[in-house]
Amino acid sequence: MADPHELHSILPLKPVDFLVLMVLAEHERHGYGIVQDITEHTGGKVRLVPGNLYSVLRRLLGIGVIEEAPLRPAPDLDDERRRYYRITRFGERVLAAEAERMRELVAVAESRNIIDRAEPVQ
Amino acid sequence: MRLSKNLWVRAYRLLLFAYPRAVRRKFGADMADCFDDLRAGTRRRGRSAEINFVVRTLWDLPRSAIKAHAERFGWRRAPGPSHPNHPTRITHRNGLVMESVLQDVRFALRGFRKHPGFALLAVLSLALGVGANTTMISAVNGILWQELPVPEPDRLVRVYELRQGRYTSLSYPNFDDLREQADVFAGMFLHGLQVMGLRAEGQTQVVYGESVSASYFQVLGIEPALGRFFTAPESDDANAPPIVVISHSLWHRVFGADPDVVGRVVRINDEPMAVVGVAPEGFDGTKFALGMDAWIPAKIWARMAGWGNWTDARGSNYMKNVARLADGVSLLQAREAAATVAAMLSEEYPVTNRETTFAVFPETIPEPAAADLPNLIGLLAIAVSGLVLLVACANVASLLFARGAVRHREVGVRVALGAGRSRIVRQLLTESVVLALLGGAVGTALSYWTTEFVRMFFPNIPYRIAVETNPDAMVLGVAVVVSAGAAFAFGLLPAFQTTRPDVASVIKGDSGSASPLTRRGRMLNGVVVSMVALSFVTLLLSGLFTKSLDNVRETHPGFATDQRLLAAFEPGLAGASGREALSFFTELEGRVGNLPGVRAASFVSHVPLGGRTHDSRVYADDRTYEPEQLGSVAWRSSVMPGYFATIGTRVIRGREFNDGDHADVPRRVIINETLARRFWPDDDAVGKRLRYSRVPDNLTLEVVGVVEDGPYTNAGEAPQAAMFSPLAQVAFSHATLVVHGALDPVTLVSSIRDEARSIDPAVPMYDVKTMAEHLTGALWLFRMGAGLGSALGILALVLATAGLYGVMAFAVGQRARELGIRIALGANNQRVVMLVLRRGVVLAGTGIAIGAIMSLGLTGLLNSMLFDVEASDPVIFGGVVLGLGLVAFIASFVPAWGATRANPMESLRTE
Repeated sequence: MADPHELHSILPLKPVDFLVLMVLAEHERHGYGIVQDITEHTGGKVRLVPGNLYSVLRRLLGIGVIEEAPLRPAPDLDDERRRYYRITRFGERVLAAEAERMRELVAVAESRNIIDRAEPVQ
Repeated sequence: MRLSKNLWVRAYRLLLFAYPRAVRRKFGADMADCFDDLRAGTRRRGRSAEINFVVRTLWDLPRSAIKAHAERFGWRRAPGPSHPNHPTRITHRNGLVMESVLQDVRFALRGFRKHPGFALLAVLSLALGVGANTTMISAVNGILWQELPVPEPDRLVRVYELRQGRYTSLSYPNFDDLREQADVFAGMFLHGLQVMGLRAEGQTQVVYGESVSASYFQVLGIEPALGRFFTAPESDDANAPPIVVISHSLWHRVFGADPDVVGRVVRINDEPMAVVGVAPEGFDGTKFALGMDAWIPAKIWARMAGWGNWTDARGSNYMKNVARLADGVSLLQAREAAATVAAMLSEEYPVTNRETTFAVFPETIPEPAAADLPNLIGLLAIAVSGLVLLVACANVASLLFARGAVRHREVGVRVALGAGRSRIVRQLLTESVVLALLGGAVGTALSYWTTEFVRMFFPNIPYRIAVETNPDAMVLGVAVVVSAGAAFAFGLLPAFQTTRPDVASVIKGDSGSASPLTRRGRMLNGVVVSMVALSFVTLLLSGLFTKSLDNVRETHPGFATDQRLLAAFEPGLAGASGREALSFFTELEGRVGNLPGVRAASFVSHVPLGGRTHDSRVYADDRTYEPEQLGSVAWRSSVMPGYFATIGTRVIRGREFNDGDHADVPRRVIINETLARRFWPDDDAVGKRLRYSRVPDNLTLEVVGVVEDGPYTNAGEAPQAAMFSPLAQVAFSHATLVVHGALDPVTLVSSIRDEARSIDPAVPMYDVKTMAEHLTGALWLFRMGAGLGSALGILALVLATAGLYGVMAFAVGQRARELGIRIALGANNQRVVMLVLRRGVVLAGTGIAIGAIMSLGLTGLLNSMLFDVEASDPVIFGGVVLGLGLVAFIASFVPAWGATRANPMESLRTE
């Protein structure tokens, strides 16, 4: 599974894939929970709707970075049952590799003072 | 406005049909849950956040659906890397996508111009479907499910006392205890509907208003347009200076929007009251369908109306209540908490609260007991119009199939020239989306018209009706989206079918016999069959619907409807007591009775089906009751001598009241058959006695007569017990004059008004109408349902006919070469017609059979909604079978006959 070649064929991740993996790395979430967490993490800049959320989930399930957990009650939703998703071991490695990749890029940018030089974008 | 939560999720589930079945099966339920959670979450942040979310969802839908289909067909490596430069990813850069979409739209419009018949039929079908739905949803929404125009209206609930299956409003002490003990509510208020005589700016008029507890405006969460609302001290003191808040509408109507209205003094029921504030625009109070014009603190109102110590009477249900759920509390939790308090109270006050629990309902449900029938009618109406939309969509799908077959060659050529299948599918889908948008736009325009049609059914009453039936933005949005989504879903199949050609055979030109066409033919057959089946169900539903509403309308109302006139008088509004009012009524009755052209005249405090209710719990005096036994609740009214003869209600036993039944003789009563049967099933009720308390009491009422039953609160209600007292013994300061005229009683109106004026010019006369108008008014909801039901049924029939005709015409066109050869070889007309007709008859027959089976399956469900008609009513069932069969036959016959007219050489040459 953790073939380095396969891992690198997946990277770089789409930003939204990265966000979903990051949310699931913290704990298992159901669909609504994922959207809520992402909205919170990004300060409301990324708001998913069911259509694109489930496209992303289908894709991530397909490459084996996340998996389904059994249906169970969601305490924040009046205990109605929801399907939960969790990150796989492989997914954790992909997430770490992507974060590492981004850190390297940022390090390069920082060493050249690119962030401070530009006008902040609003 | 509001669509109930379920409707939203259902609409979204429908849209999910745009996704491939595999995706829908695996993720559909989760997606719908997620959609619902997100919508509820955004809703908490306000209306605009919710709209924003819905728009984003709809915007995303076609994109993610196309993606999912693309994965299925292998144009995208489904689960895989998503790098923008990844070689397996087929995409256009953004600019190119926009470009090609515009290109597709232009191409579609060009195609429509070339085939205007096809475009017109498709657009009209969709327009009718969308128009019918928007009209229906907004009518039902406006009448039944209207939310209050206040922040977070879905957090408002009503609490009822529930005793032996009967709902009543909370008494003041119970309200007070619940408010103190249940922390599931952020706030609660009481309100009561009051009729007020308002004198201001030199005008006197009767308006509806509410008496309200202090927290009314605060719990609703609205701000005054002008001035202020009530403060707690001034509304808790019955002797505080009287104050009133007026409606925005009244402020405009009476005060010409004078900015200095605050501080002005108006007279309400002859009491001077200072205006302290103006309610915000669009706020019409909390009374379903009626526009409220004034709000007065409840305790001040109670003092004015002489209610006595109503705040201590645990058994008296004077006012209704509304509560706002505290943050994070669900309806379920509120129900549990209220039931707990109710259980405690019934232990503490066994006399009044025995077997009493509190029931909590969303505020939008007007009355849990009374609203059942109208709610069912509303749901049924929406179901029927939903079916009409489905028929319309099936119609468009069949047209697209038909057109797809014709374009088979075009598509084949394009594929041969190297066009990708996804590109062609996208272009075909663009066509259906353009069609849907055009249809939606026309349908929207239509629905503004048709809501006028709905308004025609409104009762003609002298008060301001606050029902909004114009389709608002949300309803329109939903309708357009649903139709676009449906057309999209229906468009996908034909698009994929059309683009699955066998290139070689197309180029060779044997489009008549290639196998893909057989497959397409089968699919086309399926669409037609389901269309006929759907219109069968729709027609049957509207037939049953119309019939049961007719039955309600034709039920004998328990009074005569011809040559009767009603006019309401309320001396109480001029400050008269019940006793003073009685002498006014007696005087006026005598004078009107002597007018030429009047056969009889009498007064009644509560007209049957008049909207005002008054009831009491009564006990048979000759019976002993166990402590836990309760008497019978009876609808009540007070009447003057000769009332039953005047209004045309039969007296079955005993006598009607006469002048001997005055205030100084022992109390007497006339009861209806239901009450007589309940208390004395085997005995003559006349001469028996009733009492108001469980234990023997000094106050008893002697039964002097029994009258026939009738509906009292709602048309079509189950028979309920009723009792009538002499107005001289149980007085009211309002009553309605009933006049039985020799001729058309409308000619008497001005002389009646003159007589009333000459007795007391300050007493307003209002709500003048004939008995027939009164009954029509009471049945307005039913009349509307029946009218719209038939309209929808006819609409469905028209759509199904058009669809069938289209399909048959297409089939004839397809077989033109074959038919041409047959005719050229000498087949006679009859044979050719039979050949073509067979297909139509088989299709229509199958559709009718499936529709009939579906309807029979629905029977059990339907029977509970119908009034006096069986869901499998043979006349309606047979009528629909025959009617639909005949129409289907004609729709198939015309093109078949047309085929024999064609010149065989012509059709051979074109191929």
